[in-house]
Amino acid sequence: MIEQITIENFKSIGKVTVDLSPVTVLIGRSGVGKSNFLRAIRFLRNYLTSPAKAVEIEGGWTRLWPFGLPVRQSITVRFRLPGFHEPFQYAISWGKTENRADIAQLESERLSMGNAEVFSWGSRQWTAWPGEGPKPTYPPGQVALGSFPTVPEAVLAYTAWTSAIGWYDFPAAVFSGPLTNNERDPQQTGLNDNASNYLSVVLALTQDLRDQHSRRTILARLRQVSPTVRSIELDSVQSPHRVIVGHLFGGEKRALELAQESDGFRRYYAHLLALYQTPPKQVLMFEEPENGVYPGALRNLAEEFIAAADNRRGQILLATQSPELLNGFAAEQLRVVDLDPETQRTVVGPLDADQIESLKTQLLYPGELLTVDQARIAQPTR
Amino acid sequence: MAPQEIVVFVEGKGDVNAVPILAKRVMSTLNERGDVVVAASPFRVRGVGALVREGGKDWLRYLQDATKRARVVGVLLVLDGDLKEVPKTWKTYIDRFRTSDFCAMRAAAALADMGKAARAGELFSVATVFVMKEFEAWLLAGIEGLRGKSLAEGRGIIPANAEVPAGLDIEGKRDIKGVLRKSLGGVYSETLDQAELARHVDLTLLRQRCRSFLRFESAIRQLVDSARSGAHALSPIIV
Repeated sequence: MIEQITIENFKSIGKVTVDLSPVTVLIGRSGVGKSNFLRAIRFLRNYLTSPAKAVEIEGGWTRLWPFGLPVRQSITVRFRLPGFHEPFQYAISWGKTENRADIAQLESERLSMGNAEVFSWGSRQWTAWPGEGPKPTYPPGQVALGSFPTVPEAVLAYTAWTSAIGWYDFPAAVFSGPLTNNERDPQQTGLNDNASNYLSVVLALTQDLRDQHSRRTILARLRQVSPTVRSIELDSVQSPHRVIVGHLFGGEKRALELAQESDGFRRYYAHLLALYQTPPKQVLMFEEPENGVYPGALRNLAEEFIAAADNRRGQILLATQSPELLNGFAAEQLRVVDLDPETQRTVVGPLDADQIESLKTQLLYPGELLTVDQARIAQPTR
Repeated sequence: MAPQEIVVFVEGKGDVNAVPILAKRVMSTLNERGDVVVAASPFRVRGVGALVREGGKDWLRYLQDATKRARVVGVLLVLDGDLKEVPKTWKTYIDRFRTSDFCAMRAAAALADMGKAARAGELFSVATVFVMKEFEAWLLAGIEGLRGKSLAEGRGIIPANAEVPAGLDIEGKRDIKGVLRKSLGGVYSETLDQAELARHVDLTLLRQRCRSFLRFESAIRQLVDSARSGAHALSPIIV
């Protein structure tokens, strides 16, 4: 679980340090930087896997610099991994290169566990070298975190920050297109970001005979949205090509392909697959999961997000603009995103103490922080 | 010493920005000391129907939430008075006045009175105002002040001859939005333009043409006076 993240000079973000909960819900007006906060985490994940691709996905370094101006950037994360008593901390920074505004240079990395340093480098030299064999005089110009196959702490931290993070912003067309790219993404396990490998994920769920609860819960949730649904299964376990949704219309059974279902149904199903995928991710991020989903189903979706975190199926981070969805969360789970009125940079913080009290005493419902009494960031204690 | 604050409660999306601007303009004439200010974040409540249901449950909740803030000493509720009848669920109004016909002064007094259950008048002040019949009436009433001003995002310039149509009962006419839109050359959006127009509308003409605006001014004056004296008030009161 990510306990704390510090992001410096990433897109609209100047410098923020945010404590995260098992479920963290980002709220705030449009354009204040909610997505940029989530994308900073996605960027770190992608960068550790493939630096060039990560930068390309974000539109190049000029779009990663704040206001397009080259400046030192860094991301520092404190996180816990199962089986380790001490928290890990990983920090990575990039600096500008001379005479180039479109390229950044990896500047330093440091991994520690508790007070013990696992490795670190900066200023063109190793300050803590964990590897065996000859120590290189200078980091090889690539991310070091994934380069120590004999150092278990580094291997686990690398895994936690690459394949164990899911970032989902499902389009309305999810599951409706031709199955041209359903192959497994070698860089990821589980449901990939655009859910194009969903048949593999449904197959894994189907084949996991120890866990029938997940499949039944998914079906029950879908029936809340579409009461005629009786089943949702692969067309073939040996060689799956599509997901078939079984309906009962007035006593008559009908089988529809998933692609024939409504946008809202498919998006809802995509979120459930993300939450119930096996093996589970460590962290699941969702951008405005309410889009296209029937408002009456959003409370159920909020319940599923909370249940996923409670049942160790992943830490949840999401950004929402939906009062209905927000009504499903507690005050401590909310983080307010806003722009600093002076610097116009993104700031993130816990909810104002008075508003927390109003939520706890039910003077205010969480959704009303988006409609009646706009959410405010807690003032720092002096 | 930090100034005391008055929280504005409004009904519509455009009102969220526009009503506080008008309130600040009025307060600037009463409050040169700057010891009482309009709070930065207004509340957006729904119409009177939502506020009075279930014995005013939402109205009381919002009052208690707003007045949790340490510096808040008053609440100014500004709603549209475009009802013919009050909601059938508003039993206290119907029982007290023996009619469901809507009367702005009675409705305002009844809402202020309901606030007592949240200790309004005791711990903080409440003043309620109905714009007759909707906020655009105030913009139309001071339209001469808007001549030559730009609409938001360069969507047009307000005609130099913009005026109130002859013989128009500004506070009695329904669909005053449509009249305003026509007067502004066909381009007016509640959510885009209200705030900018509120900055420029002619207050002197507005006072002459709209009794409900006079009530708005007196409500603000009462809230400022109460804040200064520490004697919290309900406004209006019908004896």
